[in-house]
Amino acid sequence: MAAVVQGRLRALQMGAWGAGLIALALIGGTPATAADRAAGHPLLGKPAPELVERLFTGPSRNFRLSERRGEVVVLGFWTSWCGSCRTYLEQLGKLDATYASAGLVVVGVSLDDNAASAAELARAVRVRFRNAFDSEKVLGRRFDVSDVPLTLLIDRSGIVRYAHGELDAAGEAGLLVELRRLLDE
Amino acid sequence: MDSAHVAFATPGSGHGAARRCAPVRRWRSVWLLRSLAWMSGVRAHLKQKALTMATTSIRMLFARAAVCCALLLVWAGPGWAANPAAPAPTQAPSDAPAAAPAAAPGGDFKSLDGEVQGLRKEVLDLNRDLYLLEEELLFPADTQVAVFLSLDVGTFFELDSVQLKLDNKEVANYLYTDREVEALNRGGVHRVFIGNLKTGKHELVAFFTGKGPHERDYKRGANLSFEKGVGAKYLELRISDRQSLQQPEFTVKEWE
Repeated sequence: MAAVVQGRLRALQMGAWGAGLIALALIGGTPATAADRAAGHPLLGKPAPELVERLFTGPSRNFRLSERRGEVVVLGFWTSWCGSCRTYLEQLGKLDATYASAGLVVVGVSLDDNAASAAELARAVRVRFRNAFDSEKVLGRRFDVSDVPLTLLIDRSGIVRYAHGELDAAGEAGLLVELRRLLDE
Repeated sequence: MDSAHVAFATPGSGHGAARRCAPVRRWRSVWLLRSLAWMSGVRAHLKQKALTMATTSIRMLFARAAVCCALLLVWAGPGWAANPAAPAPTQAPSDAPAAAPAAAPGGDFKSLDGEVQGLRKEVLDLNRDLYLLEEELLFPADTQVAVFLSLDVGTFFELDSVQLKLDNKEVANYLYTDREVEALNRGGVHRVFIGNLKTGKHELVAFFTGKGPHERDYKRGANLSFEKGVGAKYLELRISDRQSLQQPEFTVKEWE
């Protein structure tokens, strides 16, 4: 009798494990990618939080996001240790060089712990656009950055309209389309 | 069934391991099937729920569109009602009445534009009143202290930030952008801090950071001990150039 009960218990346990695994597979599916997380960024459609920072690159010393109402802002979060951030900085640099005359403001925010490594990468990439440094991760928390690189497109009324993760060829093309749309508004 | 029964009854009675595991496998498969069925039920339920939500939102959208159309009709109603003969101008006895309905839509748009402008002005006025009311409530005149900053010339100093300490407590730390500095250079005055202070003696210390002569980093402080009486107290931080020394000068003064 004990063996019967034991057997049934074992069967129950196995069944529960199986159900759990299936449920996990069905609910979880494939793990969410950085692009998925960027697409579902919590700030989308909401006013961008304030950003007041000293800049370590760019044409001016300090930057205040709220005084850029009426301009389209590309806000890019990066770190020196992230694999694709070097390419990302180059992409942001291209955007700045191409669309700055059309009223686009490109701002990078480094989330490095060490300012020197961020500055070193910026120097290596010959970054000319505005870059701020957020070692305290205050901006990272405020802008809900869970992955780097993260790009937020802010429209002329200060609303976060689009978010992108790592920019592959398709992502870059999509970003350009969105950017032109915002610049045309 | 018998084998299962045997296996459960006598697990070690000479039957093979495969035979002993058979009921377990059967139970497992039954459980798997059941959990699959349950999960498919849950998925079907979720799908149904999503469908219902989508239908509801589409209905809501249509309802909103209908309400908007109704509002538009109500708004445009008087204009149309005033010109019932507009679609048939030939019925008009002379040229003059026929010309009037043609000009009416433009007039409507003009009046609408005027109304919108009027509403906007009202909103701005209301916003200003609310702002003043908020300030009066938060900072009553009896306890109010405000600190302003102004630049005079500013050839020898390029302002970057100002830090304020009132009675040894940091109350403001403001970073100036190029645009703000430009506005200050044009004669603007910036209110760096507004707060409440009790009557008595107080001390204000201000630290100015920026670029000094020859593009060198520059940090200077200025302080003022003042007496807060009944009534608002206004203090001004002024940055000016001292030509004789070729250096910037930082002063704090009280407004009477």
